[in-house]
Formats: sequence, C-alpha cells, structure tokens
Amino acid sequence: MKKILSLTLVFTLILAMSVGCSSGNAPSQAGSDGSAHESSPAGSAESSAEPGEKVVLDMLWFADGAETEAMQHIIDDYQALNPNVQINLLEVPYDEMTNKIMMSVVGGEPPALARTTESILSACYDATLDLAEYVDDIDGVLAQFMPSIHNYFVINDKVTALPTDVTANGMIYNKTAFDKAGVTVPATPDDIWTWDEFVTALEKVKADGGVQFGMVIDNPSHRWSTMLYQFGGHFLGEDGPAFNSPETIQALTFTKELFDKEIVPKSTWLGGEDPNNMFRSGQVAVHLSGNWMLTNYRDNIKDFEWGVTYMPKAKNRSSTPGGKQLAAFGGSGVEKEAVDFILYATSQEANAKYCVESLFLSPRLDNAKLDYPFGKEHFEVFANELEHTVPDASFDWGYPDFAGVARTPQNEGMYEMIAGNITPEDHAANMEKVLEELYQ
Amino acid sequence: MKKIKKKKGITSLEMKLFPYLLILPNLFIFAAFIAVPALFGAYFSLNKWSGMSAPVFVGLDNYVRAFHDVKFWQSFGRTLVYVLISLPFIMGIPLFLANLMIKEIRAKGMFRALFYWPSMISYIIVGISFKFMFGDNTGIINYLLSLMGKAKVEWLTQGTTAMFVVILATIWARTGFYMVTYISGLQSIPLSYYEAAEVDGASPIQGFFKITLPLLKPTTFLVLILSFIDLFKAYGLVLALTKGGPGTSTKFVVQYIYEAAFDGKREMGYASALSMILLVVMATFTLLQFKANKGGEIE
Repeated sequence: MKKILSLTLVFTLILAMSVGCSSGNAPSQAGSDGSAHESSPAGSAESSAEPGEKVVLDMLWFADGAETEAMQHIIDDYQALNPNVQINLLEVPYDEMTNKIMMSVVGGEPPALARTTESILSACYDATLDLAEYVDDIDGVLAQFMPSIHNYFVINDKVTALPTDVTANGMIYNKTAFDKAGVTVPATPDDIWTWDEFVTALEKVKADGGVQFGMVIDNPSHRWSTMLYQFGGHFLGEDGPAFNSPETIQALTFTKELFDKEIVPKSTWLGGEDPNNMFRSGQVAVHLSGNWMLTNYRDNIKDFEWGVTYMPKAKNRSSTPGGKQLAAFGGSGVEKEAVDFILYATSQEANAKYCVESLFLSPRLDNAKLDYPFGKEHFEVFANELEHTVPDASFDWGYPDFAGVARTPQNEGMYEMIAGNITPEDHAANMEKVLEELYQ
Repeated sequence: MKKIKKKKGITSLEMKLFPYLLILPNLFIFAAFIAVPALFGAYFSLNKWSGMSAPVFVGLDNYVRAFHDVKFWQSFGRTLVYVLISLPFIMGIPLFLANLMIKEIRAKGMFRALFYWPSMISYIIVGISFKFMFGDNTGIINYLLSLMGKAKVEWLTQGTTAMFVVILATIWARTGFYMVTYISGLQSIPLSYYEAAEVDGASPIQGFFKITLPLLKPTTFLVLILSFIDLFKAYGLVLALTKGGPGTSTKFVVQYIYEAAFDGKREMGYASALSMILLVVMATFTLLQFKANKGGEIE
C-alpha cells in the first residue's frame, strides 16, 4: 500500500512539474492575461482571425477619475459595430503600468492595446507598433491633432500611439478661503498676477482665509516644470542641455523661498504627504496640478467651494502640456484590430464623447469646443493656459527618454535643495550633467 | 489450504527516497522562484539590458561601475545604520516579551495575540498606518501635540526623525514574530534547571544569564540571522512610509536597486549586478555570524 502511495505521489509530482514547465511551450495567445483567444496565436505578424471569428483584445488601462466608464462606453459602441471583436479593459495602477507592459512584452504576451503617457511611451516605444505602417494616410491622421503634442507620441519618427486627451497643468484654488481673506483671483487673462503678486495674495489668504498653507505643488518634475517655463528656463536645447541657466536658477531660488517661507509645506515633497489630500482637506489655498483633478474634486470636496484660476506669470505665461494616448503592441497577433480600435477611439465623434464624459480636454483640433456638463469655465481657463504654453515645454517632455533619464535626478535634486543640502546652482549644474546623456 | 499473504515492509531504498519526495514540492518552488531567477540575475548582471531590447554582453562592466557608484554605497551605508540600530531592539524586545509571556499571568493568550498581531499585517499597511500617525500636517501625533499646545514635530521631513520613525515601525511590525520564536525556545528549557539553580541560591537575573541565555543560543542565532536578512531587505515598509525620503535619508539599498531596474533608465543589467553584490555581502555577513556563533551550538 505504501509503495502504491509513494509511486502515486511521485507520478503526481512529476506530472505537476511537467505541466508547469511545459506551459511556456503551449501555443501562446494574444493578450496579457492568458485569457482564451480563439484566434491569433502570438507571433503572427498581424491578425489571423478568420472572417466572423471572435477576436479578443486586452487593453491595459489606468485611471485618474471617471474615464474608465467613459472608455467602456466607447468600447461598447465599437463592439456593437464590430460584433466579432471583444475588448477587455484590464486596470493596472499607473505606477505599475510601464513594468506591466515591459513584463508582458518580455514574457512574449504583449497586450493588444495600452493606455500610455509620454513617460510610459518613453520607456516602451521599442515595443509599440509604428502606426504609419498600418494607416495609409498617417500624415492626414496626425494633422487632426494639436501639433504641439506630436512629439509626445511620434518618437524617432515612429508613430507609437494616438492621443485620446490632452492635459494642462494649472491652478485650482480654495474659493471659500480666498473669499474669507477678501482676495479676488484674476477673472480674465488680462488680470493675471506676477509671481510676486501671487505670493503676496497667498500670504494674505494664509493669514486670513483659515488655511495653513498657501500652495501645494504635485511633484518637483512635471508639475514644477510649469514654474520653470514661466521663469524662462527649460531643460533641453537643440544641441545640448539648457538647464544650467540664470532663468532656471531664478526659478529654483524662487521655489526654495516658497518652501522656506512655509507658503508651500515641505512635508509634501520631503515627507510624502499627498498634495491632493491636503487640498481636499481644506488646509491649502492653491493646488498646482492639472485639469485631470476636476472630476476628483467635483466628487470629493463638499466642505468648501473651489475654482480654477489663471497661473501667475514671470518672464512668460506657460503651462506644461501632457496627455494620454492609446498604443498597440507588436506580437499580439491582433495588430490590425488594435489599430482599427485606436483609429475609432480617437475619431472626432468617439473622442468628443469620451472627453465630455471624462471631463478631459480633447487633443483633436476639431473638438476644441466641447459641451461639458460641468465646469465649462474651468476648461476655458485650462485651454487658455495651453494656448499660452511655450514650445520648450513639449520639446522637453516629448524628447525621447527625457522622462526616464531626468525625472529621478530632478526629484532627488529638488528634495536636497529644499532640505538645504545643496544650492540651486548645484542642482542646476548636476542636472546639466545628467541631461548630457540624452545627447550621446 | 489458505495461503497467508506475506506483508512486505518498506525497503531501505524507499526509506532513503521518501524524505526527498517530501521536499520535492518545496524544491520545485525554490527552483522556480528563487534559484532559476537568481541564475538569470547572474547572467543579466553581465549584460546591458533595458528589459525590452536584446541583452548586450558587457562582461564585468556593471560590477566595475557599481564599485564606483557613490549613491549605491551611500544607500548601502544607510541600510547598515538602519540594521545596526534596529537589530538590538528587534532581538531584545521580543526576548523580554517572550519571558513575560511564558509566565503564568492573566489573559496571557490575549497578550500573545495582541503582540503577534502586527506581524500579520503587510509591511505596506504598516507603512501607511505610521504615515497616518506621523505625517507632519495630517498625522495624529502632531494633531495631539497641537491640542496640548506643543509645537509640531517634523517627523518625516527631517532625515533623523524620519529614520527614527522607520525604525520604530520596523520594530513594531516584527516584534511579535520573533517573540513567538523566542517563546518556543524558552519553553524547551526544562524547568528543573531553574529549580536546581534556585535551590543553589541563584537569583532570577543569574538564572536568566546563566541558564536562559546559554540554552537559548540556537533560537537567538536563528532570530539574529532571520532579522538581519529581513532588515537588509527592507523595502515595502519604507516605500509606503517615506518613499526613501526626505531626499534620500531613508533610501535603502533594495529601493536603490529597484529604482535602477524599474525607474528612470531601466537598467536591468546594472540592477542585477547590484543585486549580486548585495547577495554576496549578505552571504558573507551571515557566514561570519555563523562562524562567530558556532552555528548556534550550545557550549
């Protein structure tokens, strides 16, 4: 009996091991979740689906607000038009998105589609399809989108994705606190404050408006770069780094003073406290963030009134544009269907529906005026900020590998500067060296 | 005539094979999730690889670069400080609690459960909880201080206090687990030794130092090795609590390696080389401890 038992055990183990080890040799399927796709084995160059055969596309997705539901509606519409296509939205936290795409690609099971940002594309553009190879009139398609954001998704002449929305950095303010302090924010672009006037206003709101701090800034890289561009600085030039300039040092010095005067709480950058939470809890007068926060604040702020105002200017007025795109990946086996969906989702009608439902700005030139159900006046401010954005902003953030190379040293250098361990001049010089790598 | 079937015993070959059969599942898991990835890590450490494109063989370049990487060694130094400060507490406090928990006290089971509870909580949750407590502007502790009219403390925006909070969170999270380890060690010491010592006039403190500690040496050695490795690998708790900040004040070596691999430039090959160096350093420390403690043998 014991012999039978031990033999059975050995047999079971060997079987389990062989099944486990052989899974890599099984015909792999398109998509990243291992779900069954009746067509299109991985590795085939394009769709191998027979006419009428069901095709399943996995789309890796992250969300800031209400856009998941909006995208699901676009998918539903597309599936109604294409009954043989099924698109699965697979939600992944934004911080894990790049790793998830990379691991899927390296593991031989790339997703059919993924939502991306310029940072994600900067890391993964090797694995995306070149949409120019799938679309006859790619120049005509590109001409439908804002030219200022083309270099976010056209990387080294490869059309890696198409944009679904464009973001603008801007300022959201605690209206209740400003009213209480008797401070009126600029109502039109003609009334815009200088940074010095803005700081004076913040000090008054901090003193009389019932808030602890004047302002929070999301992070020292993308969001802070808005201030950099307003002061006339920028990261990159045509032929080399351009960060170590008097304008940059002025922006850095001004930023450090904001922290030293406790207008901006050090705890947000140095202590890991969440700027969103601090603003939402009514402790802060202004949040330098972007239009993607509108749905979040609409749904979550109940204790005070808030609004969107124009950012102050220094040498320039400027925002920092950003955005999200849809990319398709090589080796999914459903490339044609993936590209077809991207073209559908970024078409005028579908994109308008998506942006209105999500409260996003459209990257399409023919969707400049959308009928938003909430906060039309807020969108006008953000759109105005985008119109006045300096070209350096999209040049920097769209430069291949810029986000990957610059973000961590920029964040760490700013932390050290705010903590007083290095000077603004040190940080500018250090970053200049880091950025040189991009030109080698 | 009825035949009596001879009952066959277990052969010596089966006796030899059976233990290996039992460890086979664990061996499979170890091979699949530790040994094979480690071998891949060793291979990638000799390559330049971003994770997407094909690896390019660069020999020992990644190791040469690592030995000149000041930031890596700074994070290594910070990790060492964190380990050296945390280790005595993480060994001493559980031992103290275990000594109390084996005595006949009321609600002993409840106390054991209470002290053990934190070790069942994920490091990420511990980190987030401590952040709620020690946040400069949103933390409970500063709020309580403000109610008492005291100035707030910059717990997480000053390097020294942030390190203190990280160490405190670590000790809180791990004490219960090592307490249980010590309890099992303490309960294996025969009571007759203490009774004999008491008859000879030994005080409880003498009993502790002359009987408990020497006989507890195998357990102490186990706790030493486990906690040392655990502390050196600290990542989740720190990430959730301080993200390595302020600045880089609590950025430990595993976070540095993770960032080399998955943030910024995504240098998988270089990060693999750093991991190999960490592996060698930890193995060396463990070996030295093993030698110094004579493998935890009771003398």
